[in-house]
Amino acid sequence: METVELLIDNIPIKVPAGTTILKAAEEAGVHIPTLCYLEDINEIGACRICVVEVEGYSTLAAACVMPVHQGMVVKTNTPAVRASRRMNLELILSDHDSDCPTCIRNGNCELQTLCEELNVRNVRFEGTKKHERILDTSTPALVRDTGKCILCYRCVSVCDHVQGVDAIAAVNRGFETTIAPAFNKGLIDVPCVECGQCILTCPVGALYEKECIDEVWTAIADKEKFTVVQTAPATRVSIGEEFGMEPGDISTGQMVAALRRLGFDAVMDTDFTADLTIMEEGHEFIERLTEGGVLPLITSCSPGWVKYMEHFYPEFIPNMSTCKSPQQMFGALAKTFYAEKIDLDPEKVVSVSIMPCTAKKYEAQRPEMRDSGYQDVDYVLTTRELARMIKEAGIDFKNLPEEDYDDPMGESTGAAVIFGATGGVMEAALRTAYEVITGKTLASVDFHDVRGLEGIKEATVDVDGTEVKVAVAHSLGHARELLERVKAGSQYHFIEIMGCPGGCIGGGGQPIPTDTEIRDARMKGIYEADEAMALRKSHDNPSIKAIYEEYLGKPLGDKSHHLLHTEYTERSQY
Amino acid sequence: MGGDCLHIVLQNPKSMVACTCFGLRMGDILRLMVLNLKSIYNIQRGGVLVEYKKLVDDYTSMPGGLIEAFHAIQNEHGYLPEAAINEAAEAFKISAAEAYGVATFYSMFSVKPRGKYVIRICRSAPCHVEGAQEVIAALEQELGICMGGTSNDGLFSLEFTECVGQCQERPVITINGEPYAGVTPGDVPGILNEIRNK
Repeated sequence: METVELLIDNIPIKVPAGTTILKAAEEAGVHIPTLCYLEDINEIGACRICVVEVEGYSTLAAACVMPVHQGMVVKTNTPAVRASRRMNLELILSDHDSDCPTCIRNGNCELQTLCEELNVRNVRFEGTKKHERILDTSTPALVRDTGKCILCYRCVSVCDHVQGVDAIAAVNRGFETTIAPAFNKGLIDVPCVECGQCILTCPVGALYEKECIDEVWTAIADKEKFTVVQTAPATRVSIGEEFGMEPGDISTGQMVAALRRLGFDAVMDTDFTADLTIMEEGHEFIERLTEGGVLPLITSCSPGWVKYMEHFYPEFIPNMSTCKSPQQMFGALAKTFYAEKIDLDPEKVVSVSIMPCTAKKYEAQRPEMRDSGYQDVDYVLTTRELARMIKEAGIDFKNLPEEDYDDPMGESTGAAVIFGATGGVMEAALRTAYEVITGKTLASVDFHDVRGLEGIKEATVDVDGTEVKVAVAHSLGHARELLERVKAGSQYHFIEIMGCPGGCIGGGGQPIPTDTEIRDARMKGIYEADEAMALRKSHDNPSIKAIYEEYLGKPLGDKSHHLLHTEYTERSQY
Repeated sequence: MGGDCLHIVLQNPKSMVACTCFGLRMGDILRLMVLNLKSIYNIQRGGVLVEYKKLVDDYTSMPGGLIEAFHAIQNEHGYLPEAAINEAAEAFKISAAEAYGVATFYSMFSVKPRGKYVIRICRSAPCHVEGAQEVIAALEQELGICMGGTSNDGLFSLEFTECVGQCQERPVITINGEPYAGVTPGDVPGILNEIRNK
């Protein structure tokens, strides 16, 4: 590879030709501030915060896009650089609604941090933004505030390049530019899948989840109501980040304790219904495999993926597992099985879920999700929202003594916790399907081929002489790639798709920041949690055996079909 | 909004009542209908989507063909209706968001219905110093509308343009692309009457 030598702040450095100044500076240990830059996703040199001086150049260069050359002399800390960075921040601020104390990103805002780091003390310019501030609250999951938007294009890039949804773009030009859906419609009227990846990439408070914290506080305070809460697998390895813990630190026990202290009447686990999903979906797979049903079977746990499929690939509806997601299975059982068990009027049950996801808010409001006779899940809180409630209540999360989930929907296996990472549902399903089909015990429950952050993973599993071909995709861009392979003739028996990069550990409701390194650490936490479980196969879960004996009958039975399975709707792209 | 409503009304006249709820007066809707006689004819034949598709399909293999397709649609319909932008997005295999982004980026495209005659006033420096502002004031007063608006009779729309290369006599306006150089506020009533009498 051709290399070039250059000087950055008098530090000699040798890097491959074509490297950007920003990357070369990183190598040299020199920090250049950035704002619109997102590695591999948004490298467009729009915000001009990363400007540097290059000897011989008449103007400053944007380090994030300018490639280095032999003998280049770069200076990152000169009067011109400092003045320009500050002025660019002032110009951005002049068009930004800086109501910081009440902003959802107060204290976790990249613009705020940069202003602090670069010593911006006054804004000399008056704004010229010509459009009216639009607050788009049309979807159940997302809020879009154009008043806060600084036009960095990160959301546009992630929606297009990573998710392949492309629901938003720059509309108009110059001072009139806004980032908006086609025809300036609300997000509800375009094929937005509400995955929330835009929220994770937004440096400011222009995109955020539609909160339901106050509704949940009200329900908890209402003595007439009985609040039941469930916690998704991926939340236990990420919520600690909001309280100074490391990504991937397992804080299941603290989370349970915190939820009790917030006042929830019953604290149970989505992991229980993840095990139940495996029983239903595993048997669905076995039935399709052995009785000649539509293959490949495709998983349906990720509501962002489900909505994407309905908009962009409705031809795959027959391939979709009819299983509801673990959240919705839990919701349906909370107001039927559980309410009956503790002799409670289901009307008084308020069912709340803690999810790493924004699309779950949308899923809970789908009209099909009322099989209990009520809305099965009343309120969905993201991991971030739960952290806000814990902070508001003044709970010292990190130092809480660990507590256990309540019965009868609190017990789970390692197979359930791995739902939180890409490949996990597939691995959990294989653990059960293998043993059910063959009647033998697996020598090792670990299916390493389906783990990790590679975009599309393929594996072949020998199930008693039958070669079962499986594939796993995470992020909707990779989902599209995989589905195109299927359309072009690639044959698989079983496919897992998760809407967000990394699976739920990288979901749109997770703590900010969420980047590749953090996803990796959370994923490690997930597999550690799996290994630490006494039971690692869904069909071994005693509470699962009990619910089939007491209530559901058998997997794919009548009651299961009524409460645990669903259907899909074809939707348009345009 | 106007375009959407028009399409709804044309498919179901009863929906006119609903459109008035969106803040459009009956008069607005009737005006939109007059403005779009050609579209009405096509929709009544059920053929407008087919026609958009036909206009677009000629350009799908051309690099940057979307712009050409938009020009073709606008030449036919006076503006880029929502259904046409969607049709183009589908033909070019891009999202509606991206297609709408392109449509709104270029000032020569309009996503709102416009008058039969689009009057553009040059806002570049030479015309500005020679009194473009006074010509604008005269046009606005004579037509009873502001820049960006369309006259009640559906005949005229007022828009800005950058330099059209006719700086020998200033200020310059164009009417449906025809330049009028050295225009004074006093010329405005005459120019408008000439067009009205066409």
